Amino acid sequence: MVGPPRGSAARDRDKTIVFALPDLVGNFEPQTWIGFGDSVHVVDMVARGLTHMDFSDPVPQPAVAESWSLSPDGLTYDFSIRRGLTFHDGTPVDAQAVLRTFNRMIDSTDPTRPDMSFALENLGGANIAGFSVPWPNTFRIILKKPDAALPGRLSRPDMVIISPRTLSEKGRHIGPDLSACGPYRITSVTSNERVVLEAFDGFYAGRPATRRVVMEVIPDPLAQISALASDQLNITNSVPYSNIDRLGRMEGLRFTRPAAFITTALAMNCSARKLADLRVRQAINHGIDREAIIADAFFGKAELPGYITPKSEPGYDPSHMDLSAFDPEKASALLRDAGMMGMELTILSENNGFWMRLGQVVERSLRTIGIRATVDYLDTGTFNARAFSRTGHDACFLQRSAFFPDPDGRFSPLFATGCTVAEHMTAQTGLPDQPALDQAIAAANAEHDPTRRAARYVAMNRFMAERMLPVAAMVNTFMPVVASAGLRGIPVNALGTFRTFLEDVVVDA
Amino acid sequence: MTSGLLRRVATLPFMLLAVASLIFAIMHALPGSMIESLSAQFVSDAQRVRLMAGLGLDQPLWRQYLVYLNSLAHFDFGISAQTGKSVATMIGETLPVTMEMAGASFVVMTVCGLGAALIAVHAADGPADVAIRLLSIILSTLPWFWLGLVLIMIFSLWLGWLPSFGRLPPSIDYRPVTNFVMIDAVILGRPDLIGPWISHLVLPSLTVGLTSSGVVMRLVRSEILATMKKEFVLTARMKGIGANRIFLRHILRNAAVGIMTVLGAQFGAMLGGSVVAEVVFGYPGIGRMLVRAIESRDYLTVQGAGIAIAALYILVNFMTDLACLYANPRLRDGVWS
Amino acid sequence: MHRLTPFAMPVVLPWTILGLYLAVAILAPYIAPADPLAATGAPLSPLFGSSGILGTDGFGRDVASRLIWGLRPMLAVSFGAVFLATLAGGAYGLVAGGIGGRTDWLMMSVVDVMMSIPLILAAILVMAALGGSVINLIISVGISQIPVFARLARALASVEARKEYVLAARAVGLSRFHVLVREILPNIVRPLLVQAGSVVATAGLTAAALSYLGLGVRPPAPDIGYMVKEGQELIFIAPGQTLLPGLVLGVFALTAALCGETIGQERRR
Repeated sequence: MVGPPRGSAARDRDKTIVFALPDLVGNFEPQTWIGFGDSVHVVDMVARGLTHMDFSDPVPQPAVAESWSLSPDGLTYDFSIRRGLTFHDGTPVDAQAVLRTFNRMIDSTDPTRPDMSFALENLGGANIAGFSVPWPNTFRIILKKPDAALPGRLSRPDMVIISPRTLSEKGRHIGPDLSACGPYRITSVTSNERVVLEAFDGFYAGRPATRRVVMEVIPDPLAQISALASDQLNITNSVPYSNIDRLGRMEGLRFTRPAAFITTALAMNCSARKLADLRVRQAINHGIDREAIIADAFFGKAELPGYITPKSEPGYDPSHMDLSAFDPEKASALLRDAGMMGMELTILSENNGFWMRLGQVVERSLRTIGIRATVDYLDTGTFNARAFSRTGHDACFLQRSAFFPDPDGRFSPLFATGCTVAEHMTAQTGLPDQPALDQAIAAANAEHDPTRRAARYVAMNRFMAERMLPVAAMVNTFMPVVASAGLRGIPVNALGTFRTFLEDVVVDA
Repeated sequence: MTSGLLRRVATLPFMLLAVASLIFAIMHALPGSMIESLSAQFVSDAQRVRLMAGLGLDQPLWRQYLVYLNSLAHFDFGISAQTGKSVATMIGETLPVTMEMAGASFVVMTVCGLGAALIAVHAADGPADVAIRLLSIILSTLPWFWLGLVLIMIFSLWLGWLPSFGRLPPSIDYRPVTNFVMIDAVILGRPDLIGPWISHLVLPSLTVGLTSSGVVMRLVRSEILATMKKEFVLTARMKGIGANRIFLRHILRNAAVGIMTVLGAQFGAMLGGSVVAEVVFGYPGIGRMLVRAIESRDYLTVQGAGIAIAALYILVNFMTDLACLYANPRLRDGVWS
Repeated sequence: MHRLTPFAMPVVLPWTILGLYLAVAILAPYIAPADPLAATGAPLSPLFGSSGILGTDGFGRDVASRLIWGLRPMLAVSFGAVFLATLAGGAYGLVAGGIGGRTDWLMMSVVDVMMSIPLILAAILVMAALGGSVINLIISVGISQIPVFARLARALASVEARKEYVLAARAVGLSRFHVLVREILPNIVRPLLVQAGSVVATAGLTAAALSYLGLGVRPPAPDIGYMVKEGQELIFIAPGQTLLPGLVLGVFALTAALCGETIGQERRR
C-alpha cells in the first residue's frame, strides 16, 4: 500500500542522518539515567567512558583509556588516559578529569553529585574501595574483591567521562548541557522533540563521517513507518515487529537482523505459596510454548533461549536449550505430581509494546497444560509497584537488555542477594541454594581467564535452572533495526539492545 | 453577570487549590510510587531507602501534602523526580506547544463549523442543510484517533504532501525562546520557521478541529434558527429592514453569545483533550508529558501540569464570558450565570 | 415526520440498527460462528476465506466472532457509563438547583473543579487506579461525564424551583425531599434523557480511546476498542484487522448519536 519514497523531504543526504527516538525527557545526566529509550541514546552519541564495547565481541576496547593493567591480586586496575584529548567545551581530558567524574559517584559530600545517583551501584557498589590518580595520566580503581567484568562495566552509558567545566558550572543539574568527549556534540535540544548533534573533530577515533545527526522523537509506529517511506527518517529501532519484513522488502529500506541480546522472562515469586514447590515452577517453565511466542508475538523476530545467558554472550552453551524446552506432557506431569493441577495463576504484564501480544500467548499455552492462567495488563507505574513487591504478585514478566555483552551484566544485578529483583520480584533469596549462587557469581567475577570464566557461567546457568528456577526464560529478541539502504556502517547489534553508536555510519553518495 | 465575573476572579485561587488537592489525592491513591519505577532499574535495597528519603516519600502523606501546598504558595512547582528539571520549565516547554495545536485546531473548527452552519441556515431544510446536519453528526462521532491515522496514510504516505510527525522538520535548527514558534520566528528573525511549522500543524489540527466542528455546526445552526424565530426579528422584518442587515445586526449579534459559549467550551476541551493526537502525531505537547509522568508516578509533574491546564481552562472560560459581555451588553444586568 | 432526523429518512432506521447491535450482543453465544478465544485457523487468514467469513486475527482467532462478542463490552460501557452519569450527575444537580443558595454555590464549585480537569486525563487516572475491566471502564467513563449532567440538572432544577407550583408545595409544608423528588424531578427528567441520548456515542468513543491507551478490557477477551489498537500496526499487512472494528465502532457511535437526536426532536415538537 505504500508507494515509492517521495523524496520530498530528502535534503542534505550526505550530511544529515535522522534517528527515531520514542521519547525525549531532555536530561542527559549520565549518572542518574532512569530509563532507556531516550536519554541513553543521546548519552551514547555524546559521551564515552574509559572503555568501549561495540557488541561484535565480548572484549572491551580502549576508549578514553588507551590501555589498562591489573595488579596480580586482581584488586587494582590502572587505566592510562589517552593524551591530547579534549572535551567538547575545550577543556583537556586528563586523569584528574576522570577522577572527578568517578568521585562524583562515590563521594556523598560532592556538591555536584546528583540526588539519585545510581552509577556506583552499577560499577560494583560496595565492592569499590576507591579511586585515585597515582601518577599523572593514570587513573586507578581499587576493588575489595576481584571483578573480571569491570572493564566491561566501564563501557556502560552511566560510566562516561563528564567535562569538569560542565560539573563546575552545572553541578547536580546537568540537564541538557552535557559536555563530554564522545563522537558528537550537542548543538540544540528541544525537549520531547529533538536533539541536534554535530560531529566532534576531537573524537579519539577521528571525526565521524556523518556531520550531523538529528535524533527526532516519533512515538507513533505508523508515523515512523511513513517517515521511513518518505525518507524523513533514516534509522530506527522502534518500529513494531509485525512490519519489519514488509519494510525490509521496500525499495530504499533495509532490515538487518541483530544478535538477540534482549531477554524476556517470566519471573516467579518463590515466596508465594503456590509457587514455592520447584515442580510447579518447572511445570510453568516447560508449559510455555516459545515457538508460538516467536510466531504470534514477535512475528519471527526472536529466538529460542537457552537460559539466562543469550547465545551472543560467553556463558551460553547449546546444551542450555533443553533447560527452556516446551514440553506440555512433562509440564502436566510435574503439575500433577505437585498436586497443583488446575491451579490459578495471575501474571502481571505491562500494557505496552509487545507485552500484550506475548501475554496472550503465555496465557493460552499455560492453560493447555492445566494452569488457569490470567494475565493482568497494567500501566507501567502500577506494574512496577506490584512486580517489585513480594506480596504484590505471584508472577510477572521481566525484560533485560545488555548494557554490555558480559554474562555478569545479568547475574549480579538480577539474581545476587541484595538486588531488588532477587529480593522482591522472585524472592529467590529465601531458597536454600541462593548462598551457593552468590558464591558462584563471586567466583566467576574473580576468574580472569576468558575460557574458564565462560565455563563458570555455563555451569551457573544450569545450576540456576535446575536447582532454583526463579525465572523461566521465554524468548530472546532484539530491537529491529530498519535503515535507509544508502547507509553503511550501522552498528546493528548495539542498536538491537538500546545502545546507539552511530559514529561509523556513512551515507553513500 | 459582571459581579459573577468578579466573583469568579476572586475564587480562582481556591479553584486551583481544589484542583491541586484533587490531583494530589488521585496520584497518591494510584498504586506504586516513583521508587518502584526507579527500582525497575534494579537498584539495591539500601538505595531504595535512600531514594525514598531523598524524594520525601518516607514522610506521612499529610506532611507531604502540606509541604507541597507550601511550595505552591511560593509559586514553586518543584523539581521533577524523573527528569531532574523544574516542573515550571517543563510546563513552559510543553504548554505552548499544546496551545499552538489547540489554537490551530480552533481555527479549523471555527471556520468549518461556522461556515457550514451559516450555509445550513440559509438553506434551512433544503438538501444542503440536511447534508450538513448529517455531516455534523458523522464528524462528531468519528473515532478521532482513527481519523488521524487515515489522514497520515493519505496525505503523508500516499500523496507525500504533508509531514506526519513533529513540529518542525529535522533539517531546521531551532532553539526555542518562548516555545511559541510563531513568536520565536519574530523574536529571532527567522521567517523560515513559519512555513514548515504550519505544514506540520495541518494534519493534527485537521484531526482535532474537524471532529470538534461537528458539534459547532449543530449548535450554531440551531442557535441561529432559534434566534430567527424571536419576536424582535419579526418586528425588524415588519419594519422592512433588509434581510442581510437583519441577519448581521440582529440575528448574529444575538446568537453570538450562544456561539461563543460553544466555541469557548470546545477550545477548553481541546487544551487537555488532545493526548492521543499528540501521541499519534509526535507533537511535543503537555498531554504526552502528562501520560509519561502518570506512568512513572512523577507526582510533582502531574500535579503541576494538571494545575496549569486547569488554570488555562478557567482562563479560557473567563475570556469567553468577557467576550459574551462585549457582544451582548444586556447580559451585564443579568444574574450570575 | 421527515423533520425527525436530519436525513429525510424514517426515524426507525437508526433505532433499528441500534436494536440490531443490542440483539447481536445479547445473542452472541448463539450467533457467533466460533469461540472468540480459540484459534480456529492460521493467523491473519483473509476475508471470505475458509477460516471464517471475516478471516482470523494475528492469533488465528475468528474475527467475526470477536467482533460479535466485542459488542458486549462496548455497549455495556457506553450505556452503563451514561446511565451512571445521568443518575449521579442528575441527582447531584437536582439537589444543588432545588436547594439553591450557598449549598448550590458550593456544590457547583465542586463541579467546576471537576470540569477544569480534562476528561481524558480524569479517565486515565481512574483507570490506572482501578485496573482494566468493564465495570471499571463504566465507572471511569461515567465519572468523566458526571459534571455535564450535574450542570444541566442544576440549571433545570433551579428554574423549576422558582416556579409557583414549587413555592406552593413548600408553603403547604411538604418536605424538601418530597419537593425535589415528587415535584421538580418529573419536570427535568426529559431534558436529562435527551442529553443522555446525545452522549452515548461520546462515552463509547472515550472508552475506545482508553482501550487505545492500553487501559481497557483485559485481553484476550474481545473488545472493539482494543481490536482497533491491536490491528493498527497491521494496517499495511492486513488492513481489515483495524478497519473492521473501526467500522463497527464508528457505525455504533453514529447510530447512537442519530437516535439521541430523535429523542431531542420529539421533545421540540
